[in-house]
Amino acid sequence: MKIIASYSIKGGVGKTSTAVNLAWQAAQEGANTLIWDLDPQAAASFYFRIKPKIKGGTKKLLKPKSVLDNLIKGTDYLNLDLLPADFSYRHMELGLNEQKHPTQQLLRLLRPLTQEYDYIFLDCPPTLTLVSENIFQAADIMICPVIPTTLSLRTLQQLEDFCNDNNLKHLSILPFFSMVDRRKKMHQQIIETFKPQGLFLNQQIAYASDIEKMGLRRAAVGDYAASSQAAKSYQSLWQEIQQRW
Amino acid sequence: MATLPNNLFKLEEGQDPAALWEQINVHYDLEKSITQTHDSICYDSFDWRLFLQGWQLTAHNKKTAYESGQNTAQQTECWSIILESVDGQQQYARQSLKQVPTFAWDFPDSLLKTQLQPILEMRALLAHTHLHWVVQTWKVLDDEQKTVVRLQLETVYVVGENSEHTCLGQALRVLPVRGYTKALQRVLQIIQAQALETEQKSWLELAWRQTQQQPGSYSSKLNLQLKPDMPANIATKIILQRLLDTMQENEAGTRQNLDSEFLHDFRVAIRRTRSVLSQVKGVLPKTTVTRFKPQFAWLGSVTTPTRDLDVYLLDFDKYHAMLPAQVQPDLAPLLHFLQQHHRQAQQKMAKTLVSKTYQKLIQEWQQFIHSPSRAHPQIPNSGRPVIEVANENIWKAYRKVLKAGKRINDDTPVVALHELRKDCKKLRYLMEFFQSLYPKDRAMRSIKILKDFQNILGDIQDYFVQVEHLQSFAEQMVEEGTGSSRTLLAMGVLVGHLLDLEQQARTRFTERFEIFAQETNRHRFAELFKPQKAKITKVITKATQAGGA
Ligand SMILES: Nc1ncnc2c1ncn2[C@@H]1O[C@H](COP(=O)(O)OP(=O)(O)O)[C@@H](O)[C@H]1O
Ligand SMILES: [Mg+2]
Repeated sequence: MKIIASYSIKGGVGKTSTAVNLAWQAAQEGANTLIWDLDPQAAASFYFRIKPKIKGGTKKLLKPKSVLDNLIKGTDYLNLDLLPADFSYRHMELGLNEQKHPTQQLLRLLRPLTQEYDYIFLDCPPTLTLVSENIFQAADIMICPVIPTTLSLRTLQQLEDFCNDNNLKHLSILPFFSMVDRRKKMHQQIIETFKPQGLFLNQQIAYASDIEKMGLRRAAVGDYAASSQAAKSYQSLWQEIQQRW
Repeated sequence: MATLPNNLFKLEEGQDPAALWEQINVHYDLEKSITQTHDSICYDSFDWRLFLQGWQLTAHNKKTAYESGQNTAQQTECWSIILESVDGQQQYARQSLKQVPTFAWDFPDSLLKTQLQPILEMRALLAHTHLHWVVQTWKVLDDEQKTVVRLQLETVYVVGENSEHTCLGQALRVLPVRGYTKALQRVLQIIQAQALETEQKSWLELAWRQTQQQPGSYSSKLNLQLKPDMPANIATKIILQRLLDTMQENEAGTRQNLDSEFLHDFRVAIRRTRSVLSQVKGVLPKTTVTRFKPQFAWLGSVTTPTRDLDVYLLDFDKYHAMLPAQVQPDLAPLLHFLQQHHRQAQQKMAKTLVSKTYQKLIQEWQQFIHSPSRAHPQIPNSGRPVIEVANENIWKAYRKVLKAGKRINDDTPVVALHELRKDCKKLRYLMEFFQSLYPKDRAMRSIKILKDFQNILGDIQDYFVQVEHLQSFAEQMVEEGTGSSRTLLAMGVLVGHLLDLEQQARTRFTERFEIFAQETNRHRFAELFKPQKAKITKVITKATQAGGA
């Protein structure tokens, strides 16, 4: 069992698109897969047509004896389940602060599910807070979409520093270039500069209208555009990630 | 007993699911999804060991097709083999393999293998039912177009030997989507309102009805129901018919060597038949007895070489393990020798079993069994109640065993033990033939007592015969030039081992005989089998003696 977080400090970089499409890919290959929509914006829940609501909200969720099991919903795809977002996730920070081990709560909640699932994907909100610390503690792998711009690169640096400072050695950080636009000179330049270091995954996700369409189709790219470049990119991204552990 | 899991609804013949879709459509959108086909083949041993255990072994070749339609379906050439309870409610083990192995020992090491091995032992897995499934999936959608329930319309066919498909019917399976219990309840309500009953019989049972199979129907046991006052000649024919049935049931499997147990059961039926001919005295016409006795002796003897080699092959691992590790590889040529000779013996036997001589024997024997039985003054016991004849024969055979057993001590030549073993076997067969005439638990108890005693005699005999065989194998291997000196030496070590074991078994004989012949057991036998007349005369003599004193 592996817990995989799709994370970035920045919003709008492709975290949700990545989490949704990789989880779909894993499920298609036969793995029992869960995706937890941790972002109160609820984009992942929206893509799967599932109401962003959990019974009792964050308050009940963080109670000592709470269980995730009966909050899980089946998606339209076999082997793929979703734990929906809830509006109250906005106040998760406060709730966590009241706990005894405030950074271990997510891990505690996920532990009973590790028997049932081969992969648990976490679709994360773009913050660097106690919620993210919980994510860092729980995840085995953190995939980070990075738009090839200097600003994005700086936020990646911030993240690495944070992890080093907070002794998060168990966590392997796998950045990849997201929303790459071939026509943009700067994108190409930045990618070229970083290539020799081997820091980024080889597979990039290009800017593609097929991915943009997810909001309309409310489905995984591989479902409605199986033979598209975008679908193939996610498939090989997932392959490359699996080779990295 | 075997019910399909809930949420399965049988459609009546010719019932159109469209009416149902309409009803569901009032509340939900319905979307037609993929159609999948797959095959499932159920396996069991000839004697239904898995079924009798409450188990079911099924191999599925599911072609994994994705719901998303556009994805090219990945075809798996793999069989997913599942061991589960007969009702399908509990799964014990599963494994994916390219082919379904014939024997439990052919499975790769796994939970499935460890579950199957002690039950199947030497029996082959035979395919008994082949089902073909066409499954059409429909999605029930909520107002967000989210799938909340899946419906599967299953059309199931039973596939015959010449791959002809017979439709068993259609059923609707309702598959829940996690977290959507309300929608599930609602859909179930709609379907139930259409008066579709949950199917009680499983597809497998329907298939059995179609193919006229009766699981658990074969048993090598006699399982007769004789009545004490039946005329002896009629009861005897019932026994003989049952034995002939067993022979015929096992004949094809013996010929094809599906597994070694067919021949074993075939031979037991022959031996029992011979035993009836010689042990049930004065019941069958003399001419019949003298005519068929040598013929069944012949039939037994043509099957002996194959069986002897079977026994060796089945025990080979045991022999292997008797040797020190560094000598074990030297035994390989013996295995090769056994396999080769087994093939030849098997071929020869199979030929005999299709020969005119054999067919004529079976035919004439059947004719005799079917011929009307009339009690005849020249056949003294033919019309007597079977219980009397049974008592007399069993009692006589029992007394013979007791007498012979008492005469045996440590210095008695081994032949005497072999004779005793034969006497015990005769007694055992008689007790089994007539078992149903006696109170069940007491009959079984006395058979058990005899069986325990037979075990020691069987061991002594087996070791002795194995030594003799090994010696003759060695001679043959030398003649054929297939036995290297190392192999012969290894076989020599085996012979030494077996002689030791025989000796050890012999030392246990006296103790076992004493248990068999102890007073409480003698009482048991007397109470059950001692002929009434003898009992009465004894009581009278006792009474008169008492009176006279
Ligand atoms: N590779 C891409 N090409 C085109 N549009 C994309 C791509 N990746 C994401 N988007 C779009 O960008 C927006 C933000 O993406 P999203 O995955 O929600 O990012 P995040 O979760 O990081 O906020 C969404 O509208 C999405 O459809
Ligand atoms: Mg997002």
